[in-house]
Formats: sequence, structure tokens, C-alpha cells
Amino acid sequence: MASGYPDFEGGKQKVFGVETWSALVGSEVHINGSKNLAAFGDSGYTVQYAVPAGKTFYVTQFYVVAYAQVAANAELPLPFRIDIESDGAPKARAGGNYGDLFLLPVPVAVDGGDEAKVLVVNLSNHAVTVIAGAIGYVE
Amino acid sequence: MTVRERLAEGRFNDMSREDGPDGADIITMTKRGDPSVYKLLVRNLYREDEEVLREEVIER
Repeated sequence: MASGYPDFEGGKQKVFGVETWSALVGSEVHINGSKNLAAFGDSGYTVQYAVPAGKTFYVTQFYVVAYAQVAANAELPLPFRIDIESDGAPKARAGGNYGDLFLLPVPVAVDGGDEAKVLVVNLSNHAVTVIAGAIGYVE
Repeated sequence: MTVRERLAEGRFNDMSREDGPDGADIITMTKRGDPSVYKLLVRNLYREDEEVLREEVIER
């Protein structure tokens, strides 16, 4: 190869996406929490995280799982909405039934001094418990 | 460093929140390479009237 260029042959170098790299250098961040929500639109923040000044939290995925609080309702639908909020406004929104994992090819960036929040809205007709969180890295 | 300071400085890789007694939140933090578990019982986290009720470090 021309001089001055790294030699990628022979397996001596590896290339990582920033998400994977964060786990290698210890800058990955997982935040999650649980909340009990009443039926028909009750909502709550499962977790909030005030990002330290001078840092930025890049949210690359978020997830939620919902289950009925009453055993008799366990097989009823569990529709939900989940928001990733920062700066007092929703930045990523998704919905589904029972639970899901949502990937963000373009991360939600939460700057230092702001709070990253995970909001879940129970859209079902019965009380549920939700566990929801966000995954990303801090730089 | 107090547990509350650890949360403020983001010195964790994993942070969980669950409902605690009387409207308080239980915050649990861990950090890779650190065997300890850091727990915080706090009311009105991040609000003007925030009140840290208890801190606990569980060393394993």
C-alpha cells in the first residue's frame, strides 16, 4: 500500500461503530426504570437522567415491556406509546403492543445540563406495569 | 464521593429507577470494573426541593 496509509490487511486493525466502541472504552450508558400506570392514557416517566455539564448523551435505542397488573388481564392487548424527551420536548416517539426495542440510526443527542427522560403512555384499557429505558453512550 | 455526586457526574454505566416509599425514587447504579452497587433514595430528584433520604454502597 502507499506509504502513510494504515495497513488494514492481516487483521491488525479493526473498525468499530461508535456504539460498539463505547462499550470497549466504558462510555456506554443504560438507563431504565419501572412504573405502574392506570388504564386509558395514564403516563409516567420511568427514568430521568440529568446529563453532566460538558458531556452529551447520545441515545441510540430505547425499549419498553408492559405487563398486566392483574393476572386475569394478562392476555389482553397492551398498547403503549413511548417517548424519549429532552429539553422538555419529545425527540423520538414510538408505539406498539406488549413491548419492543426501537433503534435510532440517528441518535437523540441530550446535551449537558438537560435531562434525558423516558415517558410511557398506557393506551390499554387495564392497569399495567411498564419497564422502559434508553441505551447509548456519553462523550 | 457521595452516591448523589456519582449520579450528578455520570460515573456509572447502568442506572435504574423504581418507585420507593412515599413518592421517593430508588436509584441504583453500577459501573463496569467496579464491583460495588450504589443506591440512592431520593425525593423530587432534579427539582428545587430535592431531598436525599438515604445513600447506600453495597460492596461485593
